[in-house]
Amino acid sequence: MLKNSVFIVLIWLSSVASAQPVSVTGKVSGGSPAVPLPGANVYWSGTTFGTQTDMDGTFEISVHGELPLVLVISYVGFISDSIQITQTGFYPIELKAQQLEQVEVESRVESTMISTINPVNVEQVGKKELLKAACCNLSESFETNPSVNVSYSDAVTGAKEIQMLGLSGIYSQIMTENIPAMKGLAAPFGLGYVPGTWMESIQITKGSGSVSNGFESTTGQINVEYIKPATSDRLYVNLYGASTGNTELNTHFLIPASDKLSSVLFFHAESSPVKWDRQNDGFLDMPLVQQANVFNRWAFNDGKKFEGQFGVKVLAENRLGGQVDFNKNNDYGTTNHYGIGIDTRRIEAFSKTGLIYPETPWKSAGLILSGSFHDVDSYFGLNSYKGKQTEFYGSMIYMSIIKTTDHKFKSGIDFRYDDFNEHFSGSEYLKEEIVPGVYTEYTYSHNDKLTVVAGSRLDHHNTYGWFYTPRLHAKYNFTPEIILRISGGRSFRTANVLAENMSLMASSRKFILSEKLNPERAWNYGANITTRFTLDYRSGSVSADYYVTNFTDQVVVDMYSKSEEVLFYNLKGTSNSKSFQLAVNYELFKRFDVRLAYKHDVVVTDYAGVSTQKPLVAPDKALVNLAYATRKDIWKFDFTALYEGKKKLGIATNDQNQYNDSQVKNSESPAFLLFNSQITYKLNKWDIYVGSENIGDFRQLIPVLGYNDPFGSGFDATNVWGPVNGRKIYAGVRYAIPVKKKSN
Amino acid sequence: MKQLKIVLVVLLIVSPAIARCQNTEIVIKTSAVCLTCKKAIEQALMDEKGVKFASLDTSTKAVKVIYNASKTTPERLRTAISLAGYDADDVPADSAAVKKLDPCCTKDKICNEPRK
Repeated sequence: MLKNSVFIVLIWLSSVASAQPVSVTGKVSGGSPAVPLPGANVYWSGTTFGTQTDMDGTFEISVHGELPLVLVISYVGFISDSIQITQTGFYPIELKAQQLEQVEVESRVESTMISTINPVNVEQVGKKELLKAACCNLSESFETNPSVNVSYSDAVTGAKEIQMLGLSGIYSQIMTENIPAMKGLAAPFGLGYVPGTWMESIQITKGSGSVSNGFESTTGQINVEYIKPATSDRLYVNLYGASTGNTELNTHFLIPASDKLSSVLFFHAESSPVKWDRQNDGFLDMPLVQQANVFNRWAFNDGKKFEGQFGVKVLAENRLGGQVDFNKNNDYGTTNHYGIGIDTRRIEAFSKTGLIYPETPWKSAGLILSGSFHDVDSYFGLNSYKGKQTEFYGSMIYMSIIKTTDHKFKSGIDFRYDDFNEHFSGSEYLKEEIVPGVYTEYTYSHNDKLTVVAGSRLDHHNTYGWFYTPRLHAKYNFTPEIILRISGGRSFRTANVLAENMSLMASSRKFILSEKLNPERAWNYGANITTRFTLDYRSGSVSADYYVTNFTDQVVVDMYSKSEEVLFYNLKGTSNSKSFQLAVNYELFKRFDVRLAYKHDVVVTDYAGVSTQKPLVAPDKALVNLAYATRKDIWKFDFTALYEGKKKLGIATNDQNQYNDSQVKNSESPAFLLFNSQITYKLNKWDIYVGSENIGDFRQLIPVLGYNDPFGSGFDATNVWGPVNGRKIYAGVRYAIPVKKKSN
Repeated sequence: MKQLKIVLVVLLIVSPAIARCQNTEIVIKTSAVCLTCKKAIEQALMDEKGVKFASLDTSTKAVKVIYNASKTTPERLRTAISLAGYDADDVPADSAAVKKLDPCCTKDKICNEPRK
């Protein structure tokens, strides 16, 4: 039924769109002396219907709609140009090379965009969308995005986990500026290490990602771009306070260096010092968190051939949760009160250098080096968990073309090193991973209709040997506005069961690793169809997708078989996820954007021979986001409603009848609705915002099972299916001094 | 699920109805000289009530506007352009607004294309 309605919409839209077989040709050149620019993007303004220039800089683009139209020409390193096309014919276009600190004239952009040019299903989450969630970090950035869901993984540590295609965030590859991030020990709290205001944009790729980023992405990739020296304000300050007592300070500013060298210093501090126990179960509703986070990045550009970036990030975080009366000095290591403490220290550094060839702009070479050290020291009641991880990543990439820009390729080698040293409940777990790899990715584009990206990579793991990762992406434009994308590929990852399941330590369950765990392998394939349309001069889109993930090897986390244990074992049988999503975006009337999305995820795994739905995954989810801005964005109103359907709880089968919670029936959580809203007022350089999360004050009333006896066998804080915190009201100010525009 | 379908159907039914409101087209000659001016004029028009579409051709300096005739008038559109600092047909640019313009955008200056 749903699929039928999608088709009706598509057919209807295609009848609205009109096409004319007339085309415009031209030649794009740039630089001094001017040389032809192959691979430059040429597209009709407002439509994103486009093409690319050939080897000799020429292009042909069919007229899309009625003349006159504006044609936009863009090329990396050059200032984008646009020309009015009043009649068909040949247009020579010369682009000017970009200067640093160039400010582009902005037009109204949609806050979330699915490109019609990119062959991969990537959603671009821009600044505007990021501002919809005033607080606090990367995990809140997905509140208005249907593709990524965020859940609390337990009631006491405050760890948050993302889900893509219904599967845990560990199966998505999270990167910061294309460098793998939040792996291993950083997985449980990593989203909290990226403050919201430091981000410039997020790219969400559904399905397998590019082989150039590695072998890990099973369900998707999330890439975060931080603000860069070239795009930073001179000074930016954000102060935030919430009714729950949380306060936050975020700031970044430009450090003037020289014409060739520039730098931004970022600082973030947060504190939630107030103890809340609205559940009256003796446990804190959320942990007390203190975090300081500093990031300094530099960019170098000699204006000719060489460009480079490097940065260092340092983070310290302390979390204290558990019973309200817990006092570390008196109660640590005793059964007086149950406490949880997680202290994290992390340092990371990266460098990226690139060579560009001004005469042959389609050619480039790059080197990425990054490293991190992560230290976590924690206790969960009487259990203690300590971990240290040293990570190193190096990648060399070369990009060029084969004869014409119809045939592009990327090729590279990379190297991953991870050293884990973990202590849990008296045992030591040591692991060293050394994985060198090599990859090639070939892109074929045939005019503006068809693009195929085929990639493959081969890696060697010091313990598990060779593995091969093929990936394929293709995009086909039925019409300029109706795009089909398909993708398929294999992925590989090694599980870090302790760190990834740290939140399960907040229970009386024992961790049972009964066998040697194999690496996880999966196939993912899917398709997306996106239609853009213009209705009464306002644009919108309809997008539907379906993705399937099939695990051939998986580490199963079994909460069902035994009530006093959590079992980790290799998958015997099948495990898969099927995910369908439908999203509609439209500017319903001027400056009023509507987004509707519905998602259906079926995730089924064999638990000790019994095929069961994965716990804490809601098969049905829906989202409505309404955003309105007054003229010149003086006032901005944003409202989001989220629906989460019933979820199965992670409770041992034989215990399910004894579950003592009126909200829960048959060990299934109830469906619920959440509402968030925010209002922003712009006053010169100031932004003043107030908002509320969970306006309806919906709460899970019993987030901690067995709270009366936290050292007894019934204690379990891991079945969190809904918000533990009730309504939150917050307010804050943002202050920005932009870089002065240089008029030439 | 059911609600979603209803919303979709409503969208489908309502949207052509919206499209049938009184859309009127007008072309106004302006004193725009560069892409910055183009953006400023288009934005000023889009900020006017009833305006649905505005596109300025820098070579002819004419801006095409599509608007709802029951909500605004050609006079108001010209005034909006004038208040943004540009001439609109026979309505001269508001002198106070001209003073605030980026030096690149004053009409007596010759300003080359978009490169701001």
